[in-house]
Amino acid sequence: MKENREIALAMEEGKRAGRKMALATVVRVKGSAYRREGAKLLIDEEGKMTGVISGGCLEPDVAEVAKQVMADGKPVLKRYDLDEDLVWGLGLGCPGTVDVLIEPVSWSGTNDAGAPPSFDGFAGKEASS
Amino acid sequence: MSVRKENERQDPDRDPFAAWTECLKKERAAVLNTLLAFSPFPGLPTGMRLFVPENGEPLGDLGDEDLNRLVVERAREKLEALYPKSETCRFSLPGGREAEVFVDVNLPPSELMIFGAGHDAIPLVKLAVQAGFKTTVVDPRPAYATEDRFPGARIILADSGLWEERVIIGRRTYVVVMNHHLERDRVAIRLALNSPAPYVGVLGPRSRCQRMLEALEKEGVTFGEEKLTRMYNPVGLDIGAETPEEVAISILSEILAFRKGHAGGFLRGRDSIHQPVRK
Repeated sequence: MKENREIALAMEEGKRAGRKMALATVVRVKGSAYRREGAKLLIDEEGKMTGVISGGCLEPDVAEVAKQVMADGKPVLKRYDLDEDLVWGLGLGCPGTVDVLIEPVSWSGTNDAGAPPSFDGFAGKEASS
Repeated sequence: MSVRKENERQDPDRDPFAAWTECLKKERAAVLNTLLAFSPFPGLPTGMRLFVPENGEPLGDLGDEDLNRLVVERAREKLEALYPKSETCRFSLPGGREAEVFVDVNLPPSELMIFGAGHDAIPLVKLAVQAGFKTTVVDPRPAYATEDRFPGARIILADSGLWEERVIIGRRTYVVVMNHHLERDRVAIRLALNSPAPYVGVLGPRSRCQRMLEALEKEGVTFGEEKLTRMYNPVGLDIGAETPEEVAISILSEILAFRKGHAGGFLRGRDSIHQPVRK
């Protein structure tokens, strides 16, 4: 749990420096994955990362999504199907499904109430997997 | 649904996310619940939050009173558990409604308290500090219990007669008794078994430990079944350890396995790595 503290300290530092940030959290894992639910990755507008959410396979894509999240302030719930995903599943990861919630950190904290959710193939997909 | 004002959202007393990050920073036990999906109302904003600290009142709102109540109950259960996991939970509500909430648990670091500052405690403390335990060494001997020998550990230099008042053992404190000294071991066992410690490892063979329990009984100190199930003796996993370094690995591995409810042993051939086999 030292990791959570590091994330909190990095958020505080980012706030002090006035940088935009996004927080990615593993919220659901099915099958095998390097990290479990609760693993966190903080990304700031300069691309600096704190924390680990996978063995390195997901971070580049999450960082891309984070840019969009920081730009429009809307959270994204993204599903990575490591079994089938041709880009990130090149024998790098474990054969599992990982859902990652990527949210803007405006330090005031919560998302803008009323911001419509942006689910990336999330709803109802569970039954088919 | 409450309407938040801009200035309220900066305040950890009013904003669930700010309160949560405060707990992360200060290493306090807390649960942050984040709404992921709510059917049949997919239009509800995700990211609504409800914060539940171990000590204190819930803060925030998931947009539905029934859901709030169930989520707070679940969070309290998690905070009661020894090593709760963060997970996405599905809640069924009246009227056929379903909600998915990510329940994120933050715990303070576990503590490892080692009675005995002998040479075999050195590798155990080193491993424990590396693994992220808040580590404490308790011993009355100033030549042994030094910061030089135990970097990264807190040292309590006190005679066993003072342990009762100087040593605090909580419900997330794992204890290992390894004084190599019958009298001090006995005091340590008595203190640890009468504390909320979930695990009390005792170095040495069963016969020696048994004799100490009998001696305590003669002094009028007995432990019920519930307390004795927390005692682990001989201590450690069965890996054939011999040197102090190997014994330290064996002991710390047992503590890690115990903490997560795993049984130890080989993973070879197992279909699943992360599922506990012991409740």
